[in-house]
Amino acid sequence: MNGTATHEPSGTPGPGQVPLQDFRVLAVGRAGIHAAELLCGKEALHGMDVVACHSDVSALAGSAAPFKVRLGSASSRGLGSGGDPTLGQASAEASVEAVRGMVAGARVVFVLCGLGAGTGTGAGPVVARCAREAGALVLGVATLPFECEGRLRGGHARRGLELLKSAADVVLMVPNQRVLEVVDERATAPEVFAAANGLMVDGVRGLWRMLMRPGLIRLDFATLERLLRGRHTESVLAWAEGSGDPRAHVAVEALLKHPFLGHGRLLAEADAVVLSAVAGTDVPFCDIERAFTVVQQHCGQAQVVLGTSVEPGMGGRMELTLVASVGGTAPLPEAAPGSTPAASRDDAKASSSPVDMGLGAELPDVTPVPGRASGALVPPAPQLTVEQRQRVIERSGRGPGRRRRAVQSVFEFDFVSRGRFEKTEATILDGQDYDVPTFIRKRISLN
Amino acid sequence: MAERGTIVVGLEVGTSKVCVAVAELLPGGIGLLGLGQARSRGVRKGEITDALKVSEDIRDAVAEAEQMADVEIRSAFLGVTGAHMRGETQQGLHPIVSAGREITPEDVQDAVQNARAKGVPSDHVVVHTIRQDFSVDDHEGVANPEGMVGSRLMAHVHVVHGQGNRIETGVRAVKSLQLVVENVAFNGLASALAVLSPQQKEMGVLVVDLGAGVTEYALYGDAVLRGCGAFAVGGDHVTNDIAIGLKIPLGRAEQLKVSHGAATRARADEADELVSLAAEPGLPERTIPLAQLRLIQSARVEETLELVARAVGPSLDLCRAGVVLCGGGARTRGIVEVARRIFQLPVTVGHVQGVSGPVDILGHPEFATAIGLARFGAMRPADPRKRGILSLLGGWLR
Repeated sequence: MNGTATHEPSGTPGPGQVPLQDFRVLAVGRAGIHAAELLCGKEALHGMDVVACHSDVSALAGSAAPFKVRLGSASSRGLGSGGDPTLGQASAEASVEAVRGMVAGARVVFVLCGLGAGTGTGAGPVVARCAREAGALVLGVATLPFECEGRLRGGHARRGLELLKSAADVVLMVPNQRVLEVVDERATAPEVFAAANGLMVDGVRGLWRMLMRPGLIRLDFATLERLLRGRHTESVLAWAEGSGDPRAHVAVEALLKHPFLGHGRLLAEADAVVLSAVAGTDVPFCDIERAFTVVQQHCGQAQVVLGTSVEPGMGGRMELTLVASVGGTAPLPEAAPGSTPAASRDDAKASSSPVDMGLGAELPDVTPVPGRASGALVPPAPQLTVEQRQRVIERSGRGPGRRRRAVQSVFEFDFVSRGRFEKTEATILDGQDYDVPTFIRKRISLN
Repeated sequence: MAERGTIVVGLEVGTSKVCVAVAELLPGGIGLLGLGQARSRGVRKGEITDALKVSEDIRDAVAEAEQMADVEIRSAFLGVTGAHMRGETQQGLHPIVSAGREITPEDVQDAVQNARAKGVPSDHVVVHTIRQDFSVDDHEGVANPEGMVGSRLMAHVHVVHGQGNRIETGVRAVKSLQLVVENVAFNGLASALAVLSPQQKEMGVLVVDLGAGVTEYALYGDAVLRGCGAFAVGGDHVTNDIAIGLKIPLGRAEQLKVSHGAATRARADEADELVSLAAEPGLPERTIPLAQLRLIQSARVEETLELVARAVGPSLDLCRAGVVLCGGGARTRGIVEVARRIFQLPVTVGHVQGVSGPVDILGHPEFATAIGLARFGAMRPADPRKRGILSLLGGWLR
């Protein structure tokens, strides 16, 4: 049973079958599988294969995904990783051949995972690496844990994100904390998680439509690849729809208020933006044009690529899907000027965190702490051969000099105090935050 | 027009001050009876952030105005503003199907209604629907199509709309003081109403109201409103920039802006001048280079005016009567010179037109909005039957 794929026949594909579509979704870990449920079943999209990967056999059995991969060797006995990313990673490494089988021949692979716990955090980057080795464009879609989930998970998530970033072409982040901004105060836990999964899957579906539907203004694999391939960026994925008469307005407003875009701030900072509109046959072109114009006004210096396609079943509805990526290949600033007290506090936590995931062993200049990693309850890091290790480093695309610390510091998800403009909406015009003093934005020297 | 002697009250709840203008209807205009103001503490960027404080401030301003005008204020015309306010020109088509193809007032209404319904998001309410002109078949630029014969009537209408809840918040704050809100109007248009003469509107003019929290503009060409809008950038941003740039508290930055600020950079002879800030309890004495202060302020003021120029775009060519500045920001030293350079048009600081009253008040550009609101009220007397918010909205303004 070592590293075998269990192609359990559930639905059409028979045993032994492998996914054939260009477009694949690999749901890793419990969070990923839960989100992917929305892509299976009734709302399944034609032309998209969903593969569930998990180290926990029982969770895997409950999934409606047509393809399943059990991660882990016989020694793990089909139990989960128990919230330990090291175990998650080890189990994925053990099943690497099965994962490769699932990604072979794919052109675009989504890796859906929830960061913070075991399998998603540990195995997600490994799956992403396999997909990239198979030549696919890899988009990681990762949920970040709620702040209340504690520093342990937060630390895991941050490191997992770094690894995923270096393995995937793009990581689309779904910060759960942000989801709280859009749900009702009285929402129950299932509702909140459903909302988070919904936001994640809506985005994936939107991207899929953008790529698969014949476009009037075509946005294809090549365009997406040119913008995203090998940039290892952190990006956000936002999706919104509008119907009825002021549909352009509704959709744009919803998009700009999308929780992941930080009140439009991220758009202003983005360096590459992909925007696609999928509209029903009844939607006049002027609505699409209006939506594009308004959103573009909010993108500062970003390179904006637009696409439009028509979906007959949508009637008078219109959907906007937006990917905004920030930072890209530019080196992370040591301490970004925008980095908040909270962020630096998190850094401190991360470095003083008593649990080392062992994943740091792959990163050349993050000093591994073997003593800690092999604590009583924490199994040691997987033994990588020299070639394997070298490969991981190459994959990560970062030389020893480039990489500084595994810290998430580009995205500003907490607000600094805004003084006089506290409690007001940021004034974002033409992609600039007008609340920031003009002389700072225009770099006017005062001396 | 309501009968002579009727009192109309304009109430502006601004970011820096709450201002109440009390006026009396006179034959051929209005006469200003009194003005009350209070420092505003619950408004940021033109929008209410603390309704309780706003109510208190309105009460103070109303009391002052009552005392000065020696009248009791029961109702007011409220100004609304904020970044959510938008002005858009819309077209509404109405086919003429009656037997004689003669255009009736109902046809005109329908065409305007069709235009009005367009492009307004569901959470917004229409504050003004202002007719520009009509096209009858291919005949464009018809001022009044009633009685003409045609098969296709197109109305060109400027629709000003804003977010319903935010407007309602302002109305509630006034109502909590047992004052009736007769109607609401967009501040940018109210200011234009106060400072423009009919000749200027005919020739084409741009009014820029430089408020503390919001900068509004309204552009008239050929006597009709061609565009208007608001940006949540204003004098507060200047103060904030100065506070950050010179590392001084906001209160001191405000003082410094008023005492030594200007929209222009320091001249050569002022380049080395130093401004000293006297020591106050808790704050040390400081000297600040005047050049730095001016650099910070001029960058922001130029940028704000450029923002308006960009929003107006090529319509600026319609403004043969130039640009009129009002609002507190119009008192900035050198602003006329800077605006002239940016708009490439003659620029003046607004003086309230067609209103009689104390000259020192009428000459102050920061009172233009409140007086304009009173004037708006004088043009459109309240209908005592209509008192709900929904019926309030959708006023006409020409």
